[in-house]
Amino acid sequence: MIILHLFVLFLYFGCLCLSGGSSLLQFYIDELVYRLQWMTMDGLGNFLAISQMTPGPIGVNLATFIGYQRGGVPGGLAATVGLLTPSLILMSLAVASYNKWRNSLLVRSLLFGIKPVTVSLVITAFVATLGMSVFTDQLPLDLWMLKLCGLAGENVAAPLPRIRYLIIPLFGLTVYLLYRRNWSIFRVIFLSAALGAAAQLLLEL
Amino acid sequence: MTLNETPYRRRLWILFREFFCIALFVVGGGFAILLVAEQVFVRKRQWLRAGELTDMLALIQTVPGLTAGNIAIYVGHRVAGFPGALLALFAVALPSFIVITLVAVGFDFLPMDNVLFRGAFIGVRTAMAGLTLVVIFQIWRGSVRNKTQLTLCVLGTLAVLFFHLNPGWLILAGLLFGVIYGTGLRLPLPEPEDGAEMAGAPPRGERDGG
Repeated sequence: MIILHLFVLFLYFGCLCLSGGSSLLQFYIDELVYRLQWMTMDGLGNFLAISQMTPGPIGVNLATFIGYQRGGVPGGLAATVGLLTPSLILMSLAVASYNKWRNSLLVRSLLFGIKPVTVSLVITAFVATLGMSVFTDQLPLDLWMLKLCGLAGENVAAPLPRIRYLIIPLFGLTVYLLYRRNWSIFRVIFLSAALGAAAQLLLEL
Repeated sequence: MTLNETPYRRRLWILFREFFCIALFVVGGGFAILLVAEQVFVRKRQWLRAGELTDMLALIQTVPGLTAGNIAIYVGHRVAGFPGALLALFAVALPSFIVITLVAVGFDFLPMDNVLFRGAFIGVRTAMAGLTLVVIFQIWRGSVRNKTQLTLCVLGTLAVLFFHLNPGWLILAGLLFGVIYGTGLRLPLPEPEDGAEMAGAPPRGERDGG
């Protein structure tokens, strides 16, 4: 039963996985953390971190991971197949009729409305990722942020308070490297992992 | 060997092999995968036109689905029809499936109390926040092009953050708004923008070069 549930759930995610999957995180937060309470935001943060560090597209990694946690290997399979099935069907249809629909008024209207709300979902996902990294301790601003991100009252695996003064520059550095220097995601992730480990070690010595 | 000289079965096998390797060795996804796919299928195999994939970026990004998956489906379709698309998608997902299953089995045994592990996780989460912000920068220009769209975007963000609006409903609302605005009321829409929305995509003039 859980397998079927996973499959249908990820089928739904797959249908609404807009802009190459960047809207997906908000769906996971809304459904898996709030509604179904399968995991905490902190747990989702760990899953995301692992999905980024392992080979393969992040979206597939995360789906397999969540599916596995709920239903073992069949669960991982159900989640992955569910996530990818809609795109297989829709993309095949789109390739077949690309020239017909690319300039149609209906499609342009659809995209006109859908694109801004996709940006909204990426912005809210960004707020949530900030809640998983920068704002994880107990200042007034943090409490407000944590409430916003749905982390309030949770036992967050908080870093030592002082690490934030290292995390904020690290955040700035990742944005700079990715956006201005065109570093690959791969390099940025492993640099951040190394710097994070070094910072934590430094603070606990 | 160009596409027409390659037997069908061999095409399927090459599709599978190449996409399996792409998914296995390209960590990060998105545009990184696009560049590697272009390298493999345009330069090495000469199965696609130069710049074809970057030209198709709008399609790949518009149709729901993961960027990597949609690239695989597109190339698979072009090369070997629907069976090719299915096989290429399978090949893209397979490495993740194997690796993550192995990682997930070992996940419970990870020493999460370890200083270095904790620090590394915080570091990667920080990179993730940076990555998400960069995605916003990248899609902003093509997605929010006038005041109506800006209003829609701001309202949507506030509704999800403060009222916990279900993202599915938000997308449905955006879709209905677009149809009513453009097709129903016939209000003018911004000109379709050709070209890549993702940062790092080579500018239009340079694409045909190679």
